[in-house]
Amino acid sequence: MNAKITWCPWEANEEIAALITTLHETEQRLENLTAGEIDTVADRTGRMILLRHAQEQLRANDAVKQAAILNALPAQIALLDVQARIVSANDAWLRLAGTNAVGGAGYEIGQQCLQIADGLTGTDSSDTRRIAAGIQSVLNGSAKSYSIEYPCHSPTEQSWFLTIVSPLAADHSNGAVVMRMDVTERRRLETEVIEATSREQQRFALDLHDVLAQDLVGLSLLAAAAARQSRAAAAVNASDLEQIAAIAAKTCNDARTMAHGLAPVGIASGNLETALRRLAKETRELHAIGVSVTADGYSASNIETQTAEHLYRIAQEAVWNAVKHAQCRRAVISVNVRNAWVCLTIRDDGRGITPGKSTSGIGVKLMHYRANLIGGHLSIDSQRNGGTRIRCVCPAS
Amino acid sequence: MSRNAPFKFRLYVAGDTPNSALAIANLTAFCRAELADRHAIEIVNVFQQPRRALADNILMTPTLVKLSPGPVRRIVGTLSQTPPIFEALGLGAAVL
Repeated sequence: MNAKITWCPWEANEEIAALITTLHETEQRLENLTAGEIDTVADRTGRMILLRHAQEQLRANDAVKQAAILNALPAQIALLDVQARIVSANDAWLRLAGTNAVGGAGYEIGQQCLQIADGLTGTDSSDTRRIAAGIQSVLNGSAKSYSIEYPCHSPTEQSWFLTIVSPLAADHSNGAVVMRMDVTERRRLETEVIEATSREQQRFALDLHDVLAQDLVGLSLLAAAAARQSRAAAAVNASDLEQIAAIAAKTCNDARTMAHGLAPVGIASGNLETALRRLAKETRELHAIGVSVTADGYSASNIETQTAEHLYRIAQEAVWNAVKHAQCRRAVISVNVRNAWVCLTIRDDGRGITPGKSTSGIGVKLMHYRANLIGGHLSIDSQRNGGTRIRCVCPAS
Repeated sequence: MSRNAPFKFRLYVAGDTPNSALAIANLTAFCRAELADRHAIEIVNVFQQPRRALADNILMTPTLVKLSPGPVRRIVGTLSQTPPIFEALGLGAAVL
């Protein structure tokens, strides 16, 4: 509770000054009596006093711990007072201060965020103003919290940031914490996934047009010819009917193949193991590489469909990499399910990963991204006897 | 006093304040060097257990209490001056 002092007599001021002197002298006497070896003293009723050097040390320890925690986070973090002035920040924020990545120069300790936004013009200014308004809404309590994702491009590089503003206390009376994260990589992967989906849809549309539609036209013409013959009371030519049946069977087969490509797990046979076995078979036939599949503890019902879809795509990418880059002769895909966790492993006997060479291609990043989407972790390493092992461990549902 | 008698200590500290941290380090080092496998140390944080400190009549931290073998003795401070302090606790003969 903050009592507001509006009037204080001179006598009270004198007494306060005298008490402070006594406090200091008492503290100094306690330090002398205990030769600096003591942190706390208490009277016989248990009232405890923490001596000054111990207080200072505890404060310093707390500050060091807080700084270590804030600096360990992969984000730029600043603490604002109720006037939106930056009162402290982690190293990542301070490194960023003065660069364009935060939407304007001058994000330093003591700066007032809202005034910076007022002075801005240009393409980034509208986002900066929105952020300023968001900060203001959290500081005055009109919003519980605020977050925004926005572009912050430089002439040479495209960047995206996510800013989250949270109140320091539940009643919004003590300022706010601003946390800014670089989400460029995530945005890029999202775009890649969308584009990959779009490419897949275009391929599917082409297949529909060039294969299914053509066959259906042929079927329709043959059926019409058979109908004409029948109407003319002539016997229907058996070879025409056989041709209709053959095209219909081929069309069914093509439709199944397309469905497998579009949704390999969900539509094909309803389970991951079947889809992986099909992938292995296709790889064997197309690339003359021995690919086998093992499954342990697996049943179609114990893996969520979305998880199965992503695991299949990870396996597909890994097998493709093994064929394309590792020049392997053999690969093994294994799925193990234990205690509601799935472990998907793809091993090959190819060239393995060259030490020091980055495995940061878009395909690898997409595998990591997919693993993250299903709450899992992906690891890639070279095997002792050569080859590569890619492993994804994630919850089954 | 038996050469192999177990030593039980209780050290009252005030969280991770500097003198308390030093006392813990000094006591641990001494016991490891001189009383290996013959000691037990209980740490009592007076910030977390103020009533216990009051009941045990602890007026300053850090305070070390040697509980056994008897007699019970206590010493206040960081335990940095090893020989005189452990002589004062009656440990001199036991650890030689």
